Amino acid sequence: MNAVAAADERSRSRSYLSLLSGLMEDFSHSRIGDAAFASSVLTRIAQAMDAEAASLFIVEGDPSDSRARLVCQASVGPSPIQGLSIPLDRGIVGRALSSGQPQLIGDPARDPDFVHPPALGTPFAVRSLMCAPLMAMGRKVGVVEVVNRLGGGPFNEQDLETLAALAAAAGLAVVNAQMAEERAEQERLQRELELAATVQRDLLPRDVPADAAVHGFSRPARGVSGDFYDMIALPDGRTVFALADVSGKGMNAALVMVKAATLFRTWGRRVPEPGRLLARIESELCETMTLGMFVTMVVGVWDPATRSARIANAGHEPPLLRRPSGEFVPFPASDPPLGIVCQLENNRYRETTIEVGGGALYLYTDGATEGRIDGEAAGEDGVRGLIERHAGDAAGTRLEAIAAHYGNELRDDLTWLVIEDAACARRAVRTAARRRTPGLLVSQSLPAQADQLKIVRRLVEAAAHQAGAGAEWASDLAMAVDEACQNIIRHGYRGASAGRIELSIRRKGESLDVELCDTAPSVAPEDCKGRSLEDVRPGGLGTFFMQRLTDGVRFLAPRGGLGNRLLLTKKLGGSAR
Amino acid sequence: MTFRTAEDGGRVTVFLSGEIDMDRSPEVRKALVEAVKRGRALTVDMADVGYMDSSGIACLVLAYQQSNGAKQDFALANVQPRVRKVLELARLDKVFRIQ
Repeated sequence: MNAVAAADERSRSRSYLSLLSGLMEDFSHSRIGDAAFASSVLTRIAQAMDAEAASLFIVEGDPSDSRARLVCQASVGPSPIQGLSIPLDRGIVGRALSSGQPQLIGDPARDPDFVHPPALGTPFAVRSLMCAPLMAMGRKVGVVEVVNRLGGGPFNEQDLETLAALAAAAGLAVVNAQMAEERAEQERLQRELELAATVQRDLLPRDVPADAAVHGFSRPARGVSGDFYDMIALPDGRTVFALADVSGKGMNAALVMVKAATLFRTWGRRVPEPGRLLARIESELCETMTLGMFVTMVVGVWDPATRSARIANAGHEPPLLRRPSGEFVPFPASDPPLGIVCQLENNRYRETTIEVGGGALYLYTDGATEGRIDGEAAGEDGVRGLIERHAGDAAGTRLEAIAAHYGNELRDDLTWLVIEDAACARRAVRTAARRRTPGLLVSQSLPAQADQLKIVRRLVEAAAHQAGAGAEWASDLAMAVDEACQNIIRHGYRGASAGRIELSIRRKGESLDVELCDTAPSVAPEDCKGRSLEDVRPGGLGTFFMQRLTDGVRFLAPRGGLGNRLLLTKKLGGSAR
Repeated sequence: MTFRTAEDGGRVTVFLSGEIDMDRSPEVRKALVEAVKRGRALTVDMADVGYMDSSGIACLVLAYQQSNGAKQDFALANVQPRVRKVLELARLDKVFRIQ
């Protein structure tokens, strides 16, 4: 290399470096996806490298997809090829992309991969050619190509290194721009999902009264849900209810769910007959159902007069009746899911009447059986165990308590419905408890309030009468229990109105045991001593009366360690009887 | 509800009625305290009281103490067996004048 050439080389090196730093600066706050910017970058690369022409190809589509193409986004020179689209593996451009290696071709005509100019639409002679891939963060996003060094000679290794450095910078800019776009798209989708989830949540019943017969709970595994439940109160006192699960997850299931929910809302009031209602919903769903999707659904009508539910079941998990005795009875589906056969329009779905009585009927989606309860695979047994554990909870809050066992990370949407006559269920529980506990005469939960004391006395007197005791004996015990309740209200709950007292009276041999349980802060038994009678002053007599009117006053260990448990015993024998 | 009262030459009689328990005792306390203020002597007529618990007894004790403080006579009248038993249990039959 002579002195002139060496000086020329040094000057080109300097200009490459200043171009590189300039481009890096530009890339940091501009986007190569912008055509004008891409064009200006290419022009500067071509000038810095003394190239006759330059082109920038960007991968369009998923590179793993055979339909993906390399598309020329910008092109400068005598014969621009902007818009040219080639397969990813075509030509030297394709080779640079697939190998990830910069390509320097001194004599393109002799390269087997070289695509002859006419095919590329470049009528000028290609004498020397370099290609470098645009890569960053493991993504191959494009190729930059420069053609023919002005002044004749071929490109050399140093030119190739410079081009590779420029391509790396451009690659980073393209990947950054792509990722920013993807993030923006993801955020937009996320916002839309959240909106869709809100719309879906608003479809579920709200402000269901605590004493309603039908209560529901639904929580989606992800933003949107394929499950729904609903209930419609009819003017005659009956309630139409539904629970459904759309096959699949995601937005398509969510949209079908909205349609099924809307159909139920529309027809539930007008056709309060489960079989016909399902047939009606099915026929309308089938008109537009996407092939391969289906809906399992139970609809029913609760009649408070007969305490029964008449249901029709299209392929859904069997509704489960829990009898007051604790026995479970499943009611398997009698017909296929909606959207599969689509021929039942004129038929009715078969109906089953379930005598709920004092029990509770549970409907749930497969998220209940296929999920995990307290970390363990649920299954049918898990579901039954869970229902059993919460059978004593008020129906209005029971399902939430049940759902809490499934944790925060749901695998599938979780939806529950319970149908229960609350008053009848309470009576049934008491009857069952009496049957289970021989000698139990009274088992009653009462608000810890002064106006309940009269009821307490009547309950005690009735139990005493049942046990064969006389009026005075009964009255003595009633007063002792009254005094004990007063202590709970006054000193236990300290006037707080939310507390309750559980009163149970049982016959034990020749005496009556009265047990009073509360959930007030624990009372130290030594604080409950009677006072000396010499001290005439208001108050403080209650405990004295309890002791004098019974044969034993004892604090027992409270169940579950909470609150207080007081046992009053009075012997039935003697003259008082 | 309020209790019937009668006045005769400075002696106020309050006619209590029903079951006097924690729920009713605030009314009883109010009626007796007012009667002590109003008259020169107090009789609590218990003819219609079938039941009285410690909170009712406490009202009687309070009225008795206030009457003593005001140098007034305090008496119970027509005490029924159920209530008498309770007063006896608490030895208050020795404290109150029972007519």
